[in-house]
This record gives sequence, structure tokens and C-alpha cells, in this order.
Amino acid sequence: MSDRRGLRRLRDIRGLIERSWRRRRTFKAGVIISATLILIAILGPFIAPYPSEGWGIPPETPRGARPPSWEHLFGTDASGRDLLSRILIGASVALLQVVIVIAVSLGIGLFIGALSAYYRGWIERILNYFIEVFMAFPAIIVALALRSMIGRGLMIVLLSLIITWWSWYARIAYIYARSIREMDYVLLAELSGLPRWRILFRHIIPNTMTPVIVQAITDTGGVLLEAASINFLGLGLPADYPDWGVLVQNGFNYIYSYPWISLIPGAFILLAALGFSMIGDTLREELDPRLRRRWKLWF
Amino acid sequence: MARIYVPEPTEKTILYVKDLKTWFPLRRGIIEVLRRLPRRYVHAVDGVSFQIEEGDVFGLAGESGCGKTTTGKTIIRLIDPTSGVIAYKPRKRLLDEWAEMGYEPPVIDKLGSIDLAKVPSKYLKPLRKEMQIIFQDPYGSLNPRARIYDILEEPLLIHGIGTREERYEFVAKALEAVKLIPPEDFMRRYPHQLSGGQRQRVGIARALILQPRFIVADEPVSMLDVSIRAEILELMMELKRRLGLTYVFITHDLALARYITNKIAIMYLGKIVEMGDTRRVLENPLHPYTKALIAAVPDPDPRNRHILRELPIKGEVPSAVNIPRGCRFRPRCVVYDNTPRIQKYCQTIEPPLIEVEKGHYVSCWLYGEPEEIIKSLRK
Repeated sequence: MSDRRGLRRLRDIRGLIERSWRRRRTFKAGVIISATLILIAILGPFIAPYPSEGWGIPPETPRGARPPSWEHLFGTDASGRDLLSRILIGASVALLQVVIVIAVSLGIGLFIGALSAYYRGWIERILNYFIEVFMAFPAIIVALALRSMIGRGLMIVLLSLIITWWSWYARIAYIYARSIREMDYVLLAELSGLPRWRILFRHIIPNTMTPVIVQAITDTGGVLLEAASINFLGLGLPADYPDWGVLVQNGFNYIYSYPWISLIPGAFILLAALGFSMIGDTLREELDPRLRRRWKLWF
Repeated sequence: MARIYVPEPTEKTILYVKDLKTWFPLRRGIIEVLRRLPRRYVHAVDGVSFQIEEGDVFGLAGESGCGKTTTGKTIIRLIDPTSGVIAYKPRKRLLDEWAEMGYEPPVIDKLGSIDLAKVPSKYLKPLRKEMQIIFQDPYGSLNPRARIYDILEEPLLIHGIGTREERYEFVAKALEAVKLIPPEDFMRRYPHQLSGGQRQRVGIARALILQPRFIVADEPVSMLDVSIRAEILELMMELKRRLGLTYVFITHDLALARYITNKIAIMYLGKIVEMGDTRRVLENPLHPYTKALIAAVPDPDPRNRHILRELPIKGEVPSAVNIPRGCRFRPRCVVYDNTPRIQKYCQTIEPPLIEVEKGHYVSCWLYGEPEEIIKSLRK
């Protein structure tokens, strides 16, 4: 009985975060990495050493690709633009894409999943087929299809990712809501005559939320990488825009001669993915201790 | 002369049930559909009759899976019955509300009882002010995301009772009634901040907040620590005295049933096998199944702990899908094996509940004259 009580308490996202912060070093590290990146995204345009170059304007005296030096900490790209400035200025777009994609998919997924589980019958069946169909789409294929419809741009990145990601959250929400719908308090609410949609918002969704949110936090790293790859393929943002994925793409032609042009923005993508995943993984392990790894590398 | 049990409602009867059946259909496999085999059912409640007087604590006892919970949920229409009569004597409040909705309830006897089995589900809402349920699991019956205040206010909101201030008063009073004092303190809390006993008190408060008079308590203390069981039971009894409640008390614990109920029905595989005043039934059990249940109660004397007791019962509960023909207890009955005299009846005909002594009914061919009973059954 005490075990069940413990699980229930963890379902609360705030308690979960506090607990993870107290008990897990990995979580702290993840929070520090992510917080630093978010800070960079906010302050980027103000601390960039060569702001205009960051926005994509080449310097007046062309200098070509230069390796990292004190003058240009991360070197310059093929057009001679300061890479550090470009990364700092691109950070906000790179992270904002992720936040929008995650937030919207989470909202849609949670609603559809809980609706499907709670309304049962043919709604459940149809929505589940629907969810499965969307799970089968790869984001890049959707992006390709969208490109011919609405043309290149940020919208492609957002739409194609949302279209493919929400279904995963819907599936998780569905699985959890299925057990919530059997709880006695739902039965009590039904029996006292509360309308079904009110029960959905009052009892089902709040109790389904936590695991889905945790999954979403874990996914931020993955979304960042996918967004970068869509931009990298040239389907998303314009080629001189300093999104991190685009930066990697720009350097790709010079990967043997000037490797830093691709590698340094790539390292930032990796860092962000790592930071978010560390947060998400520890939260998930704290939510369900059975998932915890038995082995340790260095954290 | 053997008298077969039928409910005989009087002025004091609050609810009686006649031949109530609740069957759950099983899904048919493709082969069954193709071969046009009949749909099969789980006979959770399979022909149950009893009556409850005002102020009773009516016990429903039996091992798990015998249909006691389903019976309890069916009589308050949480589950739809398959057939049978659930006659409930309504208060004026209920009749008024139905009249307001333009619904004419199905009256079935001279006493003005209403057959709840025939009330369509859209008219059940006012009934919730008459009949409520207390669940077994105080962890599953409270939304972990809602504060105690919201949990208790919800039924009031749904039924559109009172202004905001009045509702606050109602909630405070309900919390006081279940001894969660000071109420202002408990209102703000979340369920996980309460102990199991406190949660169950909230469950009781929630059941009481609409001022019902008939409460089904589904094993209300079986998930609580032994140390707080007595407190909760005493609270329930005190509330019963103060508010004039009637309880149906579902339990598998005969010692508990003896402590709290005044009438008891022992159920086996969806049927009542023995029924009567609790003391009479438990002190002088007649049905072989009741005897086995009582023999299974642990002996509190530690000197006897090494004695392996042999229970007068064999085998396992059969599936409620394929109920044995004749007496449904026969495959497990030890008396059957040793009594050739009645074997042919046990094999073929289901024994009815017959009155053995005043107010004590049993369904077994051991008692009374089988031929005579069969004759009155035919009538």
C-alpha cells in the first residue's frame, strides 16, 4: 500500500522535479546545460562579437574560412563570417522551433490520446487507427511533401515535426488514460452526472499528464536533431539563416578542408540534445524506478 | 410445510430485490459467430432476492468473485441489471424531482415502491441523492489531482445545490461529520497528504454530502490498517444513528460482519445460499458453504496454530460462465458426498431458499422435504 502511495505522489510533476533535483546529479547537470543554452538563446544577439555577420551579412573585407583564433573564437565560415556570432544569434531560432513543436504536439497528443481512451467505442477505434497512421510517417518525407505545397520556410519545419510527433504523445496518453478511466473517482463522477467532457478535463487529462510531459522533455533532444536535419536538407529555413542545422549544412562542402564550420555548430546541437535528454531520462527514471539503469559510466 | 422465500415488503421496508440477475456478455470468437453458438454470459448475479428494512445494516458476504460487489452496485444502478426487480421506497424529494423532470416513475406495489430496474439512465441523476456508495479502495476513489474541497464540492456543483458560501458550509459540515477537524485545514489538502483512514473518511463524506439515506459500503475497511478499522466502523455506525441511514455492507470478513451487521446474506457464485439474522446465521450455520466459511476463520488461540485444520470444502470456485447444473455448490460440497439420500436432487434441481426457522433461510436440499419443496416450486 505504501508503495502505491509513493507512485501516486510521483505523478505530480512538481514533486517529481524537486525530487530529481535533490537526488540525481545527472538531472542537475542536464538543467545546467539546458539553462546555459537557453540563456545563450536569449542573450545571443546582444553578446555576439560581430552581430551583422551573425545575421548572415559577409564582412566588408573578405577573409575566407579561418580556423579558430582569438579574434574569431570558433573560426569563420567560407564567406568569412564569424561562426561564434552566427551560433549565438541562431540559438534562439534553433531552440524556439523545438519548444513550439514539443508544446503543440504535447497538447494535441494529450487531448487526442485521453479522448480516445475515455470515450471508448468507435471513437477509440477510429482515433487509434488515426494515431497509428501518423506514427508511421517519417518527418522528412512529410517535409518533402509540404515543400511542394507551401514552399520552403520555418513553417515546414514546425508542421512536419508536429504532424509526426503528436501521435507518439497521443499513444502514451492513451495508454495511461486507459488505466485512469477505470479508477473509482471517474466512476463516481460519472455516476453523479458530470458531463463526459468535463470528466475528461477534470479527471482524466490531469492524471495522464505527468508521464507524457516527461516523455516530451526527453524528446526535446530528438526534435532538435530532426529540425536540424530538415534545415540541413535545405527544406526549412533559408540557406544564409544561422539556424544550427543550416550552419552544419553550410560547412558540409568543406568538411575535409575546413572541418570546424560544420563540427562546432554540430557540437552545440549535440550539447542541447544531451542536456534535454539528461533531464528527461532522469525524470522518467524517477517516475518509474524500474527503468533505472544498473550500470554507471561516469554520471 | 416448507416456505420458499419471497420478499414481503412492509411499511418499514426501504428496498427489496426480487430475482435480480446481472449477466455480463462474453465476446464471441469468430468460430462461435460462424457456428451460431449462443452468446455466453458471466452470471455475476444469478437470481438474488432479499429485503432491507429501514435502519438495517444488511451484510453481503462470500468469497471473492461470488457477486457480492456486483449485487451492491446493481441495486444502486451503477451497473444495469439483466432482469429482476429492484424495488425502492422513495422519499418525497426524489418523487418531486422526477415530477419536475416530467418523469413518471414505475410504481410496482401498494406501498409506492419504485422499480429502479426500469428507470432509464437519464433519470438516474436524482437517485444519487438517495443512494450512494463507499468504495473499497480509498486510494482509487479520490482524484489525486484535486483538493479535498474540490472533491467534496463536485457532487454539489453537479446537482446545482447552494451558492458558493452555502457549498463551503456543506463541505465544512461534511468534513466535521467524519471527524476531519479542523475542516478548513483538510479542505486545502490533496489526497496524498492524508492517511488511508483519513482518505476513507473523505470517501464517506463524499457519499454523505448529498444527504442520502441508503448507502452501499463495498468492503470499506478491507484496505485499511487493522488499527484504524474499528474507528471507521464506529464512525459509520454513529453516522447511521445520527442521520438515520441504512447500509448494505459488503464484506468477505465474517468476524466483521458479525460485529456490524444485523442481517446477513451469504452468497456463492451469484446466488444467496443462506440468509437471516446475523447472529442466527453465524451461530447456527446450516448451509455446508456457510459452515466451511466459518470454519475458515482463523483461530485466535496461538496454542492451536500448529493444528492443520481440514476445511469442509473441496476444490475451487467454478467459473461463473458455466454454472454447474442442479445445486451450484455440489462439486465442492462434502456433505453431498456423504449423503446419498439427497444426491439425485442436488444433481438436477437448484434448491430454492426455504425458511428453516423464523427469519433464517437456506438453500440446500438437506433441509425440509425435497418432494414437498419441488411441489411448491412448481406452483
